[in-house]
Amino acid sequence: MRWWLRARRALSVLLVALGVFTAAVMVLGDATVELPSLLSGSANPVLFVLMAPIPVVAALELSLGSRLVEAEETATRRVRALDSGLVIGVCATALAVGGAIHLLTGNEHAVASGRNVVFLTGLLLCVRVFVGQPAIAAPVLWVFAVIFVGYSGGGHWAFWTVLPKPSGDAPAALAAMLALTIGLLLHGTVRRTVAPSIT
Amino acid sequence: MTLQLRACTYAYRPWARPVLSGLDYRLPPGVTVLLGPNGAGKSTLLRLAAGVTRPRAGSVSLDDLPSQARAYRGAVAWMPQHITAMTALTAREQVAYTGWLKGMNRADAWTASATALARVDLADEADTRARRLSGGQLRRVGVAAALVHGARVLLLDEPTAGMDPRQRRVFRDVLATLTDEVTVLLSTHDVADLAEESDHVTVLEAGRIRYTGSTEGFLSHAPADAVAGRRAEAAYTALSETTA
Repeated sequence: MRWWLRARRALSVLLVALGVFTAAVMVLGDATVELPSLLSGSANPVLFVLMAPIPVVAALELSLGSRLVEAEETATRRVRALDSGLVIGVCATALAVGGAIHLLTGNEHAVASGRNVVFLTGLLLCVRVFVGQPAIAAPVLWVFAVIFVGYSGGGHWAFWTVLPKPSGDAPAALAAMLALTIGLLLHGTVRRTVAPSIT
Repeated sequence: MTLQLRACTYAYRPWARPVLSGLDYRLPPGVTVLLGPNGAGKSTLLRLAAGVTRPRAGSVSLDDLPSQARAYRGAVAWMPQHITAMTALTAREQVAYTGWLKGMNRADAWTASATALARVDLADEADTRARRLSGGQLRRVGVAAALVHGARVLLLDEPTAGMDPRQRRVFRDVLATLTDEVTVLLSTHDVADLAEESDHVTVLEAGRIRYTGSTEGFLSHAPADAVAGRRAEAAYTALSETTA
């Protein structure tokens, strides 16, 4: 188990990323920046904290990609189950961090940031079974899509955006859980085959 | 303990031309060298035999065990062409991790990793980070990882690629010390170096078995005037030209 954790760089990558996430959520709070919305043509107030999950999701991709392919593909131990546990652990930690910051500072966006880690992680897992490492682009593109085409003016965000929704938004919470569940199912079942360089 | 591929067809994409088509192959006991040009399907055959990929049609089994069975994966070791150098692990930890993944407990895997690295003459680099090893050293880590859990079938894809002559000698010594209970299938382009020391030779061309049989039978394809030490190369060339 210890070797598996070291192979996944759990301490050097994941813990650092969770630390960055914690600091970002605490420091950024409800700070916003005005960015143009391509839908409404006006400026929309974007929370800096929307970006906070990106380091965690990127670290998860790096961690899951840091694998001893030749041995893990033919292992008798359930490596994918361990990986799923790692993903759930990271998501649970992000949720706990968000909840704790909310309790300490009263920051309403902290819990939503934890939820957003769950959603973007699910999105990452759904895409990475098909494209591998470039899947890290999916959460980043989602954030940019939310910022530039998710705002329809008057304080309204499109239903699909998830990220800017308040922490008590039930559909957003459901979407996050659904994305993670589907992502974990795909991660546990789909085997991506890459042709060897010389057959 | 017989590894067998029955009517195996495999293509990397559903719409692509199959790399292997209806292949029947029974791996004989002892050491078998798998020869063939680039693109012949050698790595694909080894991946199917390792259970890394499943055939689109047909089956792969070890005696009665299908390749998707956990016991199958425990009995088979696979060394691919590309060996991963784990950033955070030393050579010994990487080999031990492989043993742990194959079901060994931590203490046994740790002990066996030292033995396996010593067998491939890499004991001095056991505590070196895997990413700092040279290409040849990393391949020896790959060989050690294949040996660590005492698999009954070793599937080695180009094990001597990138090794210097001394390292290849060490590898041949490892092959020679394997007990009769271990079956080995290794692919190589190093015809002269390995084929003459193996028990059997299989030649794969365009996804079809061109020749499979004893090494003596294979060498008999060499012209009578073939230079000693080059007979395997001459036999392989003769077989290839017959096909062409």
